[in-house]
Formats: sequence, structure tokens, C-alpha cells
Amino acid sequence: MIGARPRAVVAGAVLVGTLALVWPTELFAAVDSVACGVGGAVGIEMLCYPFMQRALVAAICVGVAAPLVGSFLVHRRMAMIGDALAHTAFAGVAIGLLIGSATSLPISPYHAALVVAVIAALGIEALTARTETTGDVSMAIVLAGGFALGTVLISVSGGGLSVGIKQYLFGSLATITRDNAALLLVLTALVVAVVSVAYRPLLSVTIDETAATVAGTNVRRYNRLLVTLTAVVVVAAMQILGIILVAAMLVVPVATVAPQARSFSHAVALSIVAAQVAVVGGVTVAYAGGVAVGGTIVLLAIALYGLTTLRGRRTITASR
Amino acid sequence: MTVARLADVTFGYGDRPVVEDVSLRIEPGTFLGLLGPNGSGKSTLVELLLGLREPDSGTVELFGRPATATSATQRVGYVQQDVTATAHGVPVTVREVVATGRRSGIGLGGHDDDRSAVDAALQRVEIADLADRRLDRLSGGQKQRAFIARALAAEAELLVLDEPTVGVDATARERFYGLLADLNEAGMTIVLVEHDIGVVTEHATRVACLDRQLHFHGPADDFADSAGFEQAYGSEHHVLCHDHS
Repeated sequence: MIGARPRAVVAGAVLVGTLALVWPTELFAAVDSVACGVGGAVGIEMLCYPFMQRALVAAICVGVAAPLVGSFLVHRRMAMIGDALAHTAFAGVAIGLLIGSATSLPISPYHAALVVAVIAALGIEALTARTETTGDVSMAIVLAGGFALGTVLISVSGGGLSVGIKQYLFGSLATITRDNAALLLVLTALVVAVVSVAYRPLLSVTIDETAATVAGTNVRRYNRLLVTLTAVVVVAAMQILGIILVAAMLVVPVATVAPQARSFSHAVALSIVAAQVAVVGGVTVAYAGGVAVGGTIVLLAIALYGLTTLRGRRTITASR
Repeated sequence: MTVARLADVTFGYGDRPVVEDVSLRIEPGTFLGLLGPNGSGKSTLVELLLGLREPDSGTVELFGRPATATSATQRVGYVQQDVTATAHGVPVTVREVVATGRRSGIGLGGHDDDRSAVDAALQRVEIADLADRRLDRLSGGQKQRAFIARALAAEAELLVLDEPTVGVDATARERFYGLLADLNEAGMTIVLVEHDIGVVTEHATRVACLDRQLHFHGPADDFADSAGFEQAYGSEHHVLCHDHS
């Protein structure tokens, strides 16, 4: 991502994000027209259903944003942060549902989850940077604390929230609204634009944090940026994957391609391709088979990981 | 301008001082070997020099500014201990590593001179042919050169290396010290933290010997016969130099 490429990527992200934010109705009408046209031409019926169009848009967004951020997380040994933030997002969902049921305030559980996950992300960063607590312990504490808070809030509601929370735990194809799909597009565009602009310092910190500090990079600033982007991706992906499986897309596609990648930028591109195979394939299989979409996507991603790992081992054995 | 100046620097973890009353000046063009037994405070002194830690008392300046100032450390290239473990498993190429030295800030485009600066740095350390190889596929000696190339691409004026030859074979180590000598001859100020006394006295122009306190600071040739050597290592140690060429 050196030279003209990041400019083009950022311009594209800004355009898509603006369209989703300002003209969501027109954008999804265009998506409907194109998807149904293609679906009719190639005989794929599901492309004509608006809920499947929204699911595919959401899946493609997750397949771009998650490995993009995950590429930096995995290689900094922060793979578990996605899990930690997903569990705090669970608390955020519970807060959103609780406020929504107790008041007439128009608070979406996703918005509440986003706020809580970002606060938790910054909390993990602060715990690690300012105390003797190591990164993995910070993540474990926040993970447990987030899930504990969520369960307490659900019990406070007298069990009324436990029915509505299932879709957030396991993800769903049918419940992605146009507004949520538009929000996902905006968040993905934001993640793509920010990573493109901050690519060089993020890579510098990933390679060698101490040397980056000496060279004048504000490492804490980029650590905060990375965990905040992770929180955004986690909440964005939660709709389709569910809280329990959301972290997988941050980690598995990146781990799948890392041994074979020629360079870091190549690894980022390949991980997005691997993620797209998993999410688009997973949504399609889930629709055709009537099975859980989040689980199907993650199983496909792990199957890809297994295949590439086996192939890599064969190559190593053959070269000996 | 003096490259680095430490004045009465003391630093400790809790009540235990690790570095005590150290005063040291590093002038431009110096090749300083920083020696000392295990646990003598060498790495801590380097962290103080790089502004990664603040002293409990005393001052540390780089290029006339406090060492904690970004504008000061931006003129420093740093190669840390055990390069063989650095970025292990990260699918990053040598060129990508060296390019991170060019601009650490955010931005959308590469400057025209970035690529030529990276190429020049790679050629200077003689690994231009490895530019597109993954860092984790290189030997320890080649990795060291990649990190030095990053410092050169960043136009560093001071190169600080903390025991850079850990895990590197003898031949690569000798070639590496030859490269450092070449860079020093070309004007680069170098601080090399080492445990191998023979290597330091052979290649460095000056030696600083630390064992919590600074026991010796002077020309490398004078170190072996100095009282500071005996204070730090004891009277039973002798310096043996061997020619690996």
C-alpha cells in the first residue's frame, strides 16, 4: 500500500461510506437491481431476496474489515482481543436491550454494543500500558467482566431479554435490517480508510514496538487505534456471526495465509480473499441448508486453514 | 554537537540502583563499545539513552535535547537484542521493514525518494538481492543487516545496537562487525552493547565499562590494562583477541 494505491482505496471507501450513510435507500435499491439481475441471469434465486442481499452485503463487509484489522492483531500476538471485545459487546447489547425495554429511547443494541466495546478496548490498552498487567491477562479480565455484566443485566430484566439476545449470540441471516447493513457498510468504509492511512506506522509497531518508539512513532496512539478498530469490527461482524464466533474472522483467515504470503501487503490481500470465500460460501450454504450462518462461515474458514496448513506441511516434507 | 550526554544518571528498580552516577559524553563519529558483566546495567543504560526510561536523577540528552523528546530519538537507529526472534512469523519482506524507517507517521502516499532511499540503504548493507525475501526466512546475520538498513533509510545519525550478535554464527558476526566499522568510517556514530570484550576492543574506538557505575571510559586500546577492567571483571580475567579472517 505505497503510492497511489492507498489514495484510491481511501477514495473508494469514502464514496461507499457516504452512499451508505446519506442515500441508503437508493444504494440498496441499486444493490437489489444488480443482484437480482445477476441472480436471474445465472439462476441463483437467493440473490433476488432483499434479506439475502443484505446478508451478503454484511458478509462481504465482514470479510474485508475483519482480516484487515486481524492482520495487525495476529502478528502482534493479540489474537484473543477479538474474543474479549465480543464478550463486552454482549454486555453492550444487554444494556441496549435493557434501556430500550425500560424507556422509549431509540437506542439500538448495536450502538450500545459499539460504545461498550470501544470503552473496553481502550480499557484493555490502558491496563496493559499503565499497570504491570500483561496483555493476555488484561484481555481475560475484560472478557470475563463483560460477559459477567451481560448475564447480570439479563437476569435483572427477569429473563425478558434472554429471548431477544439469541440472535446476537449466534448471528442470523434474516434479522439484518437495511439500516444495520448500511451501518456495517459505513463502519467497514471507516476501517478501510483508517487502516490505509495509518498502514505504515501500524506495520512499524507490528514489526518492532521498541524500535518504532525510538523512531518517534507514538506507539500508544496506534495501539489505541488498533483496539478501537477491533471493537468496531467486532460489533459490525456480530450481526451475522454472533458474539460467540465473531473473533474467528479476525484470526482464522490471517493465520490461513500467513505461511504462504510473499509480503505483509500480500498477506493482507490474501486474507481478505480467504475471508470472502468463507463468508460468501458460508452465507450460501447456510441459506441452502437452513443451518446457522455464523457457525457455517467459521467452519468454512477453519476448513480453508486446515487445507492450506496440510498443503504447507506437504511442501515442507517434499523439500526435505 | 555532542551526540549524547549523560550527566550523573542514576536509575533503579525499587530501592535497588541498576545504574548509579553515570556521566558519559558521546561525540560525533565515535564507535563506543559498552561493556560490562551480566546484570551490570548495560541494557538499562541503553534504554535511558534512547529515552525509553527516565532517570531517577541526572539528565540524558541526545543531540542537545532531552532523550525523551521525539525530535531527539528520531535521529537514532536502534537494533535490539536477539534479532533472530524479532518479527518471527510476521510475513514482512526486507523492503517493507526498511521502508518503515522512512516515515513513521500517517500518510497516503509514498514520497518519490522513499524507494531510492530504501534501495540505497539495502545496497549499503549488501542485501539488495534479499529485498523481496521475507524477513523470517533470513539468517540472523542477514536480519541484522535489514535492521541496520532501516536505520540508514531513516537517515539516523546514531546507531545503537544492544548485543546484536546473539544467535548469529561466528563468520556472520565478523562480517557484521566489519560493516559497523565501515559505517563508522563513513561518519556514523555507533554505540555497541556487547559482552564479548575481545570483539569490542578490536572494533570500537572507545570503550565504556559499566558495572552499575562507570568503571572505565576511554580509548579501546587502553581498556585491557586499566583499573576499570579489573574492577568490573576481577583480576583473573584477561582479554584474548583472535583473528577470524
